[in-house]
Amino acid sequence: MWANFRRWKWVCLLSSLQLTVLGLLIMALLVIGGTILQADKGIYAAQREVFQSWVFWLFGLIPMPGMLLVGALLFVNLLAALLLRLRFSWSGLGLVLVHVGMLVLLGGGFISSNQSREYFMTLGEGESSRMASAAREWELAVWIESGGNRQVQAVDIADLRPGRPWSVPGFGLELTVERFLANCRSLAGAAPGETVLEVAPANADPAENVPGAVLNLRGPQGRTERFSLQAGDEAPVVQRWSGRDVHFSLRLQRIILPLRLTLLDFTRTVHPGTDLPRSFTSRVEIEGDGLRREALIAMNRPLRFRGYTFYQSSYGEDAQGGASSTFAVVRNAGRWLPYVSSAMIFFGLLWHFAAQLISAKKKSLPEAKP
Amino acid sequence: MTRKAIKPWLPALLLILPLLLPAQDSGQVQFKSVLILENGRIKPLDTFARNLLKQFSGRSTFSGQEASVWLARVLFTPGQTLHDRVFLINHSDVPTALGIAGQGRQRYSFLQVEPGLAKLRQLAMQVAQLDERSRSAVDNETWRLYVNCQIYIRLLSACDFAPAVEPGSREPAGDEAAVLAIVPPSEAGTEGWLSPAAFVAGPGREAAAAEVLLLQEAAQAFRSGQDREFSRALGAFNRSVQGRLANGAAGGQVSLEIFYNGLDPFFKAQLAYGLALLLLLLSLLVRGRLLPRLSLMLLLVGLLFHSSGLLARMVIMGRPPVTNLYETFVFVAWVCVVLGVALELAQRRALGVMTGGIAGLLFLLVAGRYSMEGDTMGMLAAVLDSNLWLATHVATISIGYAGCVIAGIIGHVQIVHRLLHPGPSPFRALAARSLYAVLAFGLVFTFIGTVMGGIWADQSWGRFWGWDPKENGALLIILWCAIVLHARLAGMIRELGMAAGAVVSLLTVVLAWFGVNLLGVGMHSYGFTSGIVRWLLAYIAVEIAFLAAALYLARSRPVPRGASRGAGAERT
Repeated sequence: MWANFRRWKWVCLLSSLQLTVLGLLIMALLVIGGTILQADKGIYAAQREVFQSWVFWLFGLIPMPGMLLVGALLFVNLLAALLLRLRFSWSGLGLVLVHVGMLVLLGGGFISSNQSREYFMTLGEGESSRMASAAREWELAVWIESGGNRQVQAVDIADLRPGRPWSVPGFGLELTVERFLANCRSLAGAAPGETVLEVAPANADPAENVPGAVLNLRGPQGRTERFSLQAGDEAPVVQRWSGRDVHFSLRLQRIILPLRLTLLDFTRTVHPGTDLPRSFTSRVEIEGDGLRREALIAMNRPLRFRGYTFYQSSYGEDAQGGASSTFAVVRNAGRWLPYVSSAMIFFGLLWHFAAQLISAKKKSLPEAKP
Repeated sequence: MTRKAIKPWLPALLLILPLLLPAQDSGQVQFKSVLILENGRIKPLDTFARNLLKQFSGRSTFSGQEASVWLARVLFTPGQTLHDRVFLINHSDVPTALGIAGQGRQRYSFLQVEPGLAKLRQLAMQVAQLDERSRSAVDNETWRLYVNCQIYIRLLSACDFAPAVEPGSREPAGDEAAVLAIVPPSEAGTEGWLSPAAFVAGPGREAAAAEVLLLQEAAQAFRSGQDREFSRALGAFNRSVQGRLANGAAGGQVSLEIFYNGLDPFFKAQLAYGLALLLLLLSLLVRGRLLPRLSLMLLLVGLLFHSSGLLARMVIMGRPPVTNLYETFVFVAWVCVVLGVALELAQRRALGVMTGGIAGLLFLLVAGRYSMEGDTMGMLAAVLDSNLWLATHVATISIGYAGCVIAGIIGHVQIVHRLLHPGPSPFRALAARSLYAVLAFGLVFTFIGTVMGGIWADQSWGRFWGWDPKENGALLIILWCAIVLHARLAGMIRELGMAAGAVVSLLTVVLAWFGVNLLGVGMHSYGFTSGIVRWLLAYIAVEIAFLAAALYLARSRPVPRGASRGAGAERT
């Protein structure tokens, strides 16, 4: 039964070149569509709707395969072709290498789009921190303070769906999100200590949104409270539970880095007589792993440390001449995969076309004589 | 062999010869070598004058004289230039709106424009309020004229050595000081430079006072027509300034740039490519091997100029060949011609000369239009400042573009040939083989270049791929080439389908190259963006006509079934 599985119809279809051409065509159309969408609605919407989606809704009505689905299709097609059709010979080695490289590239792209996390860290000159925060992912943080120490619990706001309670570990509280507002403003005229939120139209890029939530809390003796929380820099909501002040805040997700970074100095140079920037350079001190050293972070010169990479992202200058520097902090488990796959594809193509050239020469030699 | 190899050098030498002869008026030579700081780059005044005159009038000479002669007159005898017709107005609505005499696209003198200056300022302020993308052609032209008039007015007084106000009583405004920044105020010359008038008016700076006196003497000599004195004073000025600049422009690079400007290598290359194509056309009428050989030779002559121009730019800037959009045109044109020559040497069937000549000529013409915008040798923003990645990523992807372009042109040739000669043809079979090879070449280099771009992005922004329009454009080229090559492998398309596919691959290159720039960030150009959209649409219309022709061929002639299906599929 398995002997001639190569001839099964669906196996043939899966490994067929026709499927490759179709998949590539759809991918090309998605690239065009996504680019036009991007010019219209911004990069974030284009990524969410086309480039990082399984299904893409054309005009909001017609379901079309999204980039992930087409990628998966091509991945399977490629794998099937590799196992069933490609010749493993010296002259075919180049093409095999190219297609294995493509598999790694597609897989790596998938891993990156799921695993890669980007955070930001802004430091003034002389400041130091071991914390970075996300650009658009929010978390609900609950903490108590005692003697300068904070006991904090935080949860990703995306996991707090209305109706699903979160029992805050160590606090004896149960928290339910009654309503989540992707973007909101707080209404003026509310009583002191009370926030009333109003829904605002969501922005195309969630980084510009100010989310809010209406929360229900249940405590030890069946006591319940209901209050609103708006994200941002405003003071956290404080409530007294079991004789302790409990703080609630909706804030950008934070991570603790395996190092402490201190900005020693930020310099920006311009081409003389113009505003055209020539370089941005941050001199920093790294403290971690029991060592302390100075390092430079500049354009095209990131700093790498224990799986995190720090890039010079932007800067600020105040009227007093003080400068601040913002770093993008990226953690991407699949970071090295594109390098491996590109090298494979590069050498594969080189091998393939060199082999073709040699065989073409061999063929054309007898023809040349008459 | 040796005789054949030497030949192309001879006409080239003849064209360069006038430049090697000793210059006649040495005062002008010294004037050209005066250093100026503009847009962050220290360059010879010759370059400044040419770019300025081109920006004003669309030409790099004025009434048969070099741009530097005109600039010297503006600076030292300003009153005599008020009648010079140097202000080109490209749109007839502009003079009407300003209420000045004259109509249509023509050149105006400052005195002709002057009555409308107040109105011009008012209109320009309105344009400045508009978003750059929503400006009309008239808006852009108004703004261009306003900017040019402002520059001209400032130039008129840039060498005013007797300021109306007390010296040191005021700090010149930034723009005013920067219009003719030829005096480095500080010892090392690292901060912004000043115009002579701004220097004289500014608070007491001692470092360059003697130099400004020399300029004053030069101006005096120019007015009284004493060329020897003019030359002496400017020579002393140049030596003094160059002596003060610790690591500024080296003398060798400055004279190379002046030589490059005078040689105008890309124009000469265009000429040679155009002639080569003309001879090729003639060879259709006149039999024999002389004309095809001559046209290849002309292509090589053009390539020689083209290469020397590229090389000169690399030495002057200390950069790899491609750092901005202008240079992509020059470089892709160069690679196309190299590919054409390689094809010709391999096959000797005129296909290489034709494709290389067409691509070289067209892209150099486009580059010429871009050079109207000002200095094509600009300084780089911080993120681009990496010779390693410029040399690898940018150069590689440009080579990939060139491969797809040549493949696309061969596709056109095949379709036209088949329309004229429907029967089987060994020439088309040869062309099909070349097309396959060049398209594969294009795919390989575009792919490698794109991946290198990803690695660069990973190094500088922390992401390999971000679905940026430019990245998508490159991806589109790769996908399309892969589609064509796989469809051929699957037997879905044959000769005609490949030809149509190559035509589309040329279209994707053009879209990725400039279409993408129009989508997002508006191109930094005056009156060119709207023009380019028109050209782009016209080009797309032509390509649709070609694809329709391919479809017609596939349907109407008894050709193998595969080709028919293929041409249909390419239209999607």
